[in-house]
Amino acid sequence: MELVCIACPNSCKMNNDGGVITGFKCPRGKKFFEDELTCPKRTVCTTVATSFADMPVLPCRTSADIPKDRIFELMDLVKTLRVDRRLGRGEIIVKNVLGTGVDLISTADMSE
Amino acid sequence: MADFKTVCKNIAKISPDIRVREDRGLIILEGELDKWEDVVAAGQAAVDKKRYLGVINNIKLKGFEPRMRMPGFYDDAYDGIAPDVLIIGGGVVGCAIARELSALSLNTVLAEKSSDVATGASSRNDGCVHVGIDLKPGQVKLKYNGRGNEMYTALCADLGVPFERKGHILLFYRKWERLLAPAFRAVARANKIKGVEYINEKKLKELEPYAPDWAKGAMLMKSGGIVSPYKLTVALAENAAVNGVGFALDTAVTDMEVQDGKIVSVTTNRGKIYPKLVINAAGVYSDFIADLAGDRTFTIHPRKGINFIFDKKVGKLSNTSLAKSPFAIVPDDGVEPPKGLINKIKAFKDMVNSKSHTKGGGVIHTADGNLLVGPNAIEVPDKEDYTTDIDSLNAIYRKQKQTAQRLKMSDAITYFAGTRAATYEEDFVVRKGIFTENIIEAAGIQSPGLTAAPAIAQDVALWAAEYLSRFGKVEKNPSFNPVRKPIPHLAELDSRTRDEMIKKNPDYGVIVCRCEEISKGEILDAVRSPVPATTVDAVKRRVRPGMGRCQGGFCSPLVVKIIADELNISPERVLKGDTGSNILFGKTKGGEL
Amino acid sequence: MIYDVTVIGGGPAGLAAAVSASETAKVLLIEREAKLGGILKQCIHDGFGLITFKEKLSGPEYSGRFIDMLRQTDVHVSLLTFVTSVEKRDDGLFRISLVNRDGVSEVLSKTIVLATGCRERTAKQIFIQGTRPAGVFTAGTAQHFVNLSGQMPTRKCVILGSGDIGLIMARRLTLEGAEVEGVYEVKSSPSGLTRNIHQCLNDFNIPLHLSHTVTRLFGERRLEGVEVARVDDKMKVIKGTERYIPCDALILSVGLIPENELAETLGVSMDGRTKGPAVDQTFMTDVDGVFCTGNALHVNDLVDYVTECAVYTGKNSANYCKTDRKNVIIKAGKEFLYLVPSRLDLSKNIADTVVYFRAAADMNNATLKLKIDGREVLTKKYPFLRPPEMERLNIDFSAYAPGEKSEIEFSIEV
Repeated sequence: MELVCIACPNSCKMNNDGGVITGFKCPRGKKFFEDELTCPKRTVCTTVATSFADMPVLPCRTSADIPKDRIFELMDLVKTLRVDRRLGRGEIIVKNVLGTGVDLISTADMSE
Repeated sequence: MADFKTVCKNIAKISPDIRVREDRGLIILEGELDKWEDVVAAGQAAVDKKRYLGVINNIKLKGFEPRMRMPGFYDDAYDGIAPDVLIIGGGVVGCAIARELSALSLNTVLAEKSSDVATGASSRNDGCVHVGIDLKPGQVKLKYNGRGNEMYTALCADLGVPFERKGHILLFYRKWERLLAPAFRAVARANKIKGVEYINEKKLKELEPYAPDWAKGAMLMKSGGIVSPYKLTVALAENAAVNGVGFALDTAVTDMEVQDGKIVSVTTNRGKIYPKLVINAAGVYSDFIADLAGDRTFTIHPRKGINFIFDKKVGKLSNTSLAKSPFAIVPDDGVEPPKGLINKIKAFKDMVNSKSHTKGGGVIHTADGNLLVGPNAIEVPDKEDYTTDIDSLNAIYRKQKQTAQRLKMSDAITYFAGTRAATYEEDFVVRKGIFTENIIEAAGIQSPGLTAAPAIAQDVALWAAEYLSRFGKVEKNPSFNPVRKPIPHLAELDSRTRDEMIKKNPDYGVIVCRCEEISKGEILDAVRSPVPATTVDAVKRRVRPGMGRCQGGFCSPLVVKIIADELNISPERVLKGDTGSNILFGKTKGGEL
Repeated sequence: MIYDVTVIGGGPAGLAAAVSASETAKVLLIEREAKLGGILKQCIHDGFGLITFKEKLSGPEYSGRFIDMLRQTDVHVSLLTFVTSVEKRDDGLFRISLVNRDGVSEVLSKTIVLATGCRERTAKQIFIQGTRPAGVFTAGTAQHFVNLSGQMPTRKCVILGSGDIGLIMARRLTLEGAEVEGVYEVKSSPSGLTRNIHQCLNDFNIPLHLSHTVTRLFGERRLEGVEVARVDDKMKVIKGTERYIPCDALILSVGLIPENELAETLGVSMDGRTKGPAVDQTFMTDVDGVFCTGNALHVNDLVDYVTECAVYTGKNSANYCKTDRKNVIIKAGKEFLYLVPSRLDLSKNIADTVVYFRAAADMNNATLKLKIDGREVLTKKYPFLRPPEMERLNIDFSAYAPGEKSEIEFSIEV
């Protein structure tokens, strides 16, 4: 199986033919390949609705990768949220979202 | 001139399936054909202006169902109103008539099926205020073109519409072609055109530094001008609205009740209207309207034209309207130039008597500083066929690159199509009703309709007043003000004036469209104008955001927001143009909360 | 007051240039919009900052960090301010005319840095034919609607062009519940980064159709469908391969062009390959004191490179003093899509030169070679080079002591 690493712009072409992962330039690449085989993970970036007309949606993301197969579950949850306080960058919107151990955080500063 | 039998014989040559008959001074064609070009050819073969009022070509095209684009909703907003005058059509002709009528104490309503004025041919042409060199004595076109052209300077000054009369130029390919200048001047004399003169290469290069290398001289026709056709139409409409004309937009005429040669009522998607007088300025649909009124003497065969718009940075390639003289056939045209003087004169005569109905287009410096290149001419069955195709664009480009030699395809920013309301007689139908007493036709208006519109409007208004005087004296509108205050374009103002205006209205200092340097204040002015611009396209027609090189990529989300906020509607209700042209589908999230 | 440096544009390039210039100079930063950050405001996806911060940040986070840095400086920031013209006075100072809610004003500056970013190629620029309905968006416009306005521009769309923003929007729209029928690319290889093909298309089973284009639009008011067709190796449509796809939007990701209208009014010479100004190793144009950086100079695929270039540009503009130029043209053969800078000014520092380039086509096991006066002075091996993936390298030109008559030439050999 061939995979292109998405961990950084190097886009290393990796391969596990023969049972050994090759082609990575850093440990993150190897880790990515291993995860893709067992439990692929992604950071999800999206927006949440706000109560403020000047910024109807606030960009947010998961603070770390979550299992890929839970992305749409997360999106369903995000649709039900509304931010009614002006958050700063990095503030937590939902702690331990979907029990993943990962938080949903604001990625923009609403006060700017 | 052909008699009926000859007409029948000629038409039978096109197809034996066509039925030809005479009725009330009209020649009527019926049947069904496979090819649209045959339908058009039959209509053309039936023309006999001496014997007949006109051609009614009812031949159907197999597999084609004519479809008038409708506003897309029904209500009773105008049900039961009984204006003195109902103008049908919000193009330059309808709006010019509306403005003329607004000088009288009449209750005038203009019905336009689109969501704004100037959406048909009036926003889809090259903006040339024509000289009329290609017209023939006796044509209705010629009469109104000359008068209309003369009216432009004062009209545009009143309406605050930029207008430049820098002349139109026809380029000569060889030096000795100047010998043909007297022939041009003779035509000019016959057509009562002033200011037609030969200019040599030196003078040409002074006027047009980027004139093609091959141009060895030119005819300069000083009365030619350039205007923004949609800005003029909007200005006419706004001035009419301020002076009391009602604008019924999104209002399509679908039927009429006619009794004893008189229109009793006009059915629209927004209710039944009971006008004393109807004015038909319905452009490509003017034959349909005349038909409903029982006054049809003509047929519109739509002729599509495609134009290119190039970036302002190449606007300098033409300062006026540059076109090849009809016999300046440049070798790489792929057509051999006519050889010898006699053949050249023949080519010139062919141009004057041209059946191709387009002077071959040109390279035009638009009122906004862009370069417009085109148009071409294609007969199409659909009156609202505004589609473009790459073959046409390539052909136009190749052809006009000879005139604008430094033109580059990569400088093109947009292109568009329009349909000309051509009759088979290839002339305007501007007259009082023949079979119906309370209608005035301002129909079949194709080029030079933009030039002619102000003059047509004068005559139509006169006839309207004359007809309506039977119901009581038609007074002047005492509060009529012919002067319109235009929306300022701040980027063109000197910095002191601009500064003062921003201090009064800070929104004038917020630039929304970076390409055309349009401020939020200007956009709001358009939304709040007398004929309010409530759609993205309507705003664009008035103040140009999105007309620049990015084509609205950056500013369209901002324009949508400004319109939504000002009209207090949600963004997904903001339209690009007509009903159904919504830009957005609603909130990504939070909508249900 | 006379500024040493005026930076035009408050996106990632302008922010970094202003911060870096402010270390030694009096700086003015002018931004058109109400907020700093430029296009990064709407680039809410992650993947930014892996080089600069060794972290995977979203666009607003990345620009946010620079905005924080800017706040620690004494840079004057003028928001919601539009530059209407820049004029070079006889004394060498630039007179910059501005418009904002307060009115019309002017500032004087010793140097200017053009950090105006880029714009997207439009449907008309790739000659899309047919009708002109609502529902045709550039990917950036669609991104603005979704990520800043919180509005859906489509329920079912076709994406034309496999540029990165198009790929990012394919994922973004899918996440928000729209159907992306497919991404169509006229070229035989994708335009975007490989990792975006993987995480934006493959993750969501969105098909990528190479050697395909959209030939025609249907629908008069709102888009109702598009016709797609296969193209041959000359990118000409193959007759008979046309296929109709019902959809309510066409989203275009067909290329970016540096925004250089201001540069043109200043008489700056352009580089025909980058479509941005031609610059020397200090990122100065051929007009003394006019610098250009970021995507206004050449379109980058990573913001980290924009930042790096802008940091240099900021420093160079702050330290600028007029020299008698000793320009040597840097030649780059047809195997390059482009190479920046296009000249070396020997009157300035040539030791810390950064070279950015893209290969003109996919190449495997390629060798970059630098020849000075016919002598091969540097070679670098690349396992693969792809046009969508920009490469950079530091070169100390002083080591080769080039002279004014020297021939500097880059080539790629496979």
